[in-house]
Amino acid sequence: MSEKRKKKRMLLPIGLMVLSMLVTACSGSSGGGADNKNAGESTPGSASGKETITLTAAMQQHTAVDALKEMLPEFEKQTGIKVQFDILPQEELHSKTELALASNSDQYDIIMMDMMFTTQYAQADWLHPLDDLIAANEASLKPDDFMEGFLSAFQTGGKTYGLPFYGESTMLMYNKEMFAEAGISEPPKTMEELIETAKKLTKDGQYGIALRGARGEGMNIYIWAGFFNAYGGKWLDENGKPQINSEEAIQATQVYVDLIRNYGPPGGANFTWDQVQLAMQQGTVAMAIDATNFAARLENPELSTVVGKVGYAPVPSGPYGSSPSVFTAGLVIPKGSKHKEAAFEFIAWATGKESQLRTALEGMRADATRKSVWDDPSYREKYNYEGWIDVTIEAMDSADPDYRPRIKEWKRMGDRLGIAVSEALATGDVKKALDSAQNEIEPYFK
Amino acid sequence: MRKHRLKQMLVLETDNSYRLLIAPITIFLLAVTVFPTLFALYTSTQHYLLYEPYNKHFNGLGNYLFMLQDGRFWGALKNTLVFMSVSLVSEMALGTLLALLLSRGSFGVGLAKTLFLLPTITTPVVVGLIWVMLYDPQFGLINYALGKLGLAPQAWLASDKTAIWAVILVDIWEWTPFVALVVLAGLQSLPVEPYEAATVDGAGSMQKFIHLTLPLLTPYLLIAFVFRFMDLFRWFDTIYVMTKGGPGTATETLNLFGYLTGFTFMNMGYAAAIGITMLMIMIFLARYVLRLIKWGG
Amino acid sequence: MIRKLKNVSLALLLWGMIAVFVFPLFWLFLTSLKTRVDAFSIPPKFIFTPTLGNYANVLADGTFIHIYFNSVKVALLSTLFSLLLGIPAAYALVRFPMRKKEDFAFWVLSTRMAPPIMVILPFYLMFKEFNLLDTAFSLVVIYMTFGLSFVLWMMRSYFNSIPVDLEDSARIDGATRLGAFVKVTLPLSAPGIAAASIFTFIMSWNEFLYSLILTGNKTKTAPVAVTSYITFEGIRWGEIAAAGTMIVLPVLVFGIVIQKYLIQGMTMGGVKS
Repeated sequence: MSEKRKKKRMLLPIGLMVLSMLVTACSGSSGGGADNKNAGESTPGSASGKETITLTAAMQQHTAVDALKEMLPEFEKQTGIKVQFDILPQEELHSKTELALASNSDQYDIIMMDMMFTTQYAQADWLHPLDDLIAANEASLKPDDFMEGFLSAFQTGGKTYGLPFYGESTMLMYNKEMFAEAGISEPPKTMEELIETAKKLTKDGQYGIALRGARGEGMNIYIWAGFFNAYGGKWLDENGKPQINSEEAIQATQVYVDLIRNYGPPGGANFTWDQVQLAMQQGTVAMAIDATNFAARLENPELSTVVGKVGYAPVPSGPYGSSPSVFTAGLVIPKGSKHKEAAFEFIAWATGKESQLRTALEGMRADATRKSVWDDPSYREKYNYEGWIDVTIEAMDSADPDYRPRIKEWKRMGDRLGIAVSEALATGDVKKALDSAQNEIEPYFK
Repeated sequence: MRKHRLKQMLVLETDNSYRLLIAPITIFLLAVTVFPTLFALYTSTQHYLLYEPYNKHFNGLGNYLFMLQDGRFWGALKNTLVFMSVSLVSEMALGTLLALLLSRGSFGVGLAKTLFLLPTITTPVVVGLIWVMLYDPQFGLINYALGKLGLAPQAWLASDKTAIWAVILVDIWEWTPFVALVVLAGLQSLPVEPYEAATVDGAGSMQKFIHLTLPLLTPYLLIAFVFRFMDLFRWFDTIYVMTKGGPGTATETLNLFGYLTGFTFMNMGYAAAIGITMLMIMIFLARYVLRLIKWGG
Repeated sequence: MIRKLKNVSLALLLWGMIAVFVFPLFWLFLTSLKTRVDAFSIPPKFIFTPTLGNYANVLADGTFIHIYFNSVKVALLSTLFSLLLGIPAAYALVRFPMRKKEDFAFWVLSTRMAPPIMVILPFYLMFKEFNLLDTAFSLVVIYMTFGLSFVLWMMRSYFNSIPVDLEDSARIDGATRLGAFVKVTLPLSAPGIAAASIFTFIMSWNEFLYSLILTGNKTKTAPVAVTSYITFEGIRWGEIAAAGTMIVLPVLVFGIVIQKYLIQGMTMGGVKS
């Protein structure tokens, strides 16, 4: 082998590396303009001079999103705006979009955001307020058509930051067949009745009730809050300081813990809503308190063995009334977006009556956010699970947007509470768990 | 003259040719790791909540001091150490055993050599989800099998007593093949003559193992150990999917705690401090272990 | 007789272990063929009517194939470059007089120790600055930091176990040290290279967190795609099982191909004097 060839052998790999790095770096920066989703590519020679704008939306994985994706070509035809979806699971979407928001990136023009972050993000000045755009488009947008609780969930400091995309509340779901077998004709209306009914129905390998036990401000706390509120618990006192170990809180938590430990399926202490749903679907549990949109999956023969056997009732009330939840995810526009008007056109379209109704009729959507959709006869005809629509509308109407307080300390507070409830479920000692949570949560509010 | 020396260097004839060989890796690693490390160090001295960028300010060792009195940090550290010790020992022992069995060339070993890696190959997120299914107290296969054998079903991931062991079992299942892979490669490198000589001298297989195989395998055992050690410390995907650190904080490891602090609570300063601390612990422990082996072996 | 007994029991032990390792994945595969109702039935079903619906759903919108190729691209590139940079360095550590070898090796090791939370924000900012978000380049760079230290340490041990005489006899025959390295040392180190490449490939293929944060639609990799089946409406177990099964395949193929080199022993025969 000649010396030259030997040299080449050595240099070749090094050369390749350097070359490839240069190439990718170059295509990264120059091609970045064209490749990066937000560049406005002007179609050459277009007479009207209209640019084809491409928007990037960070969306959660959801059947409505899938359905919407199919409808995107129509949107493009209508408006000339191209939209690309980046679909991610809920938790991870949150981490990724927060980084993008914090660095004022133009990576996303639209983000699907959990309502609980409204205050935090608005105060950090990450979101573009939508009030002007809403006012300018009031006729076509019909903001009053949105469910009260849902739209206000995205309002803070007197401004609106998002439009609700999907929304839910909570309700009591019960297996009518199991009720009939035990001779119970009516679903429980109060917490006491709930406990009694659950007790009666826990026998012979079946269980009275399934509730979320897994820790998380969006997991067990999401349902637990309904108990907390119903028993009169107050998240903050007059000075804005947390008080989550009050007498009422302890009572509510005791009820919650007892139900899961005594009348719930094994492993209930770790139940996510997926497992609550599964228990209902498999007919191992007589009742569940969880999201209103469960109905779509409970009444789907591919997923459930209890189709047609489920009854729907409001969340049982405590001494202070019934406290159904409100949860909505909406579309917001980051400050860093370079195409805010186009983005608004998109979110108006995506949350518009037509889109919602269509995705509801073509797919399974039990979580529309507009009153007109719920009232629409074709919707009512499709989702005619007995009693479900009326109970749901009632729940959504009466829900308090601060069912879980939308304060900027919520994430930490909720997470710590979730741990406390999870601990109480494991050990049975409610007071200890709540007291220790109170101690750790107080410093967050300094 | 110079040209000749250059040529010599390029074909590795000169003593300082090594510079050419380590230059690419050194340049690359320096370029990629210096900035992030310095940035992390800097961030750890800041009070920095991602959603309060206007409130960012220097607070010296504040984050570290807070960490030292944060019960949750110590809990996470304890969980991590429990994980690591049990998992490491089990994986090393089982992995070595598996490698020895595979190298013996017994029945169907070709197929075995392809199959054994499956747990390590599978995406950790998927691994977590499979085991969630298997561990399900009502619908899972494990409790079903236990029931058939007349044993009591357990709550596995739902009980704070069993959760950590359930998770450790998954880790052992997932990573033992990795140890086996490394040891197997090592076994392939063993020279033949010492064994021949030993047989001539009348040594039994047990003796050969202890006096020949183990010492010769030491570098590979060390590699497997150190790498598992580093990865266990930073283990994330599978636990996250299985328990998210629950029930309570029973399975919350340092890395998970750091992730929550950074990504959920958005407390970047504190998260950086936790990260730096983890790095320091790992560097210290790794160096200590390596020194120990050097002087022992 | 005792020999045979010993052989049989050891073979049983081996296959027992293999069974434990394989079974959960077999269950995964079964789940991918079940409807949701079947997947969670009591008692668990081994016999059921299989459906290809889950696979159809996963492959339906075509992005999965694209994501697949992203993963393949990134994993292959990071493995290749890790080998290219790591192998020469390992050789340097073994055959050349170099000061502070242990420190150098340890430093390379330490580049892999940083927990993601510590470095993910700076990496994000770094790549954003250079417009390298959502590029394969950024992922390859990060995955190389995982693989390099393993390649270095693995190959260092391997080269160490190859006697210098073998290289020397090649040099006596007229080869340069570089030539000796390429013609003699490398082939004998095949099992080490094989193990190192499998490991690096697996690490890159399965990495989740960095890929989640640094990629977008164009370069999303398989693990991130799998998690997107954890949806707001429920964990789509069937699809996850199908996607999970499909994701295992390329790595399995890579492993089978490399496995040939893994079992190659030290053939001292022809080269030894």
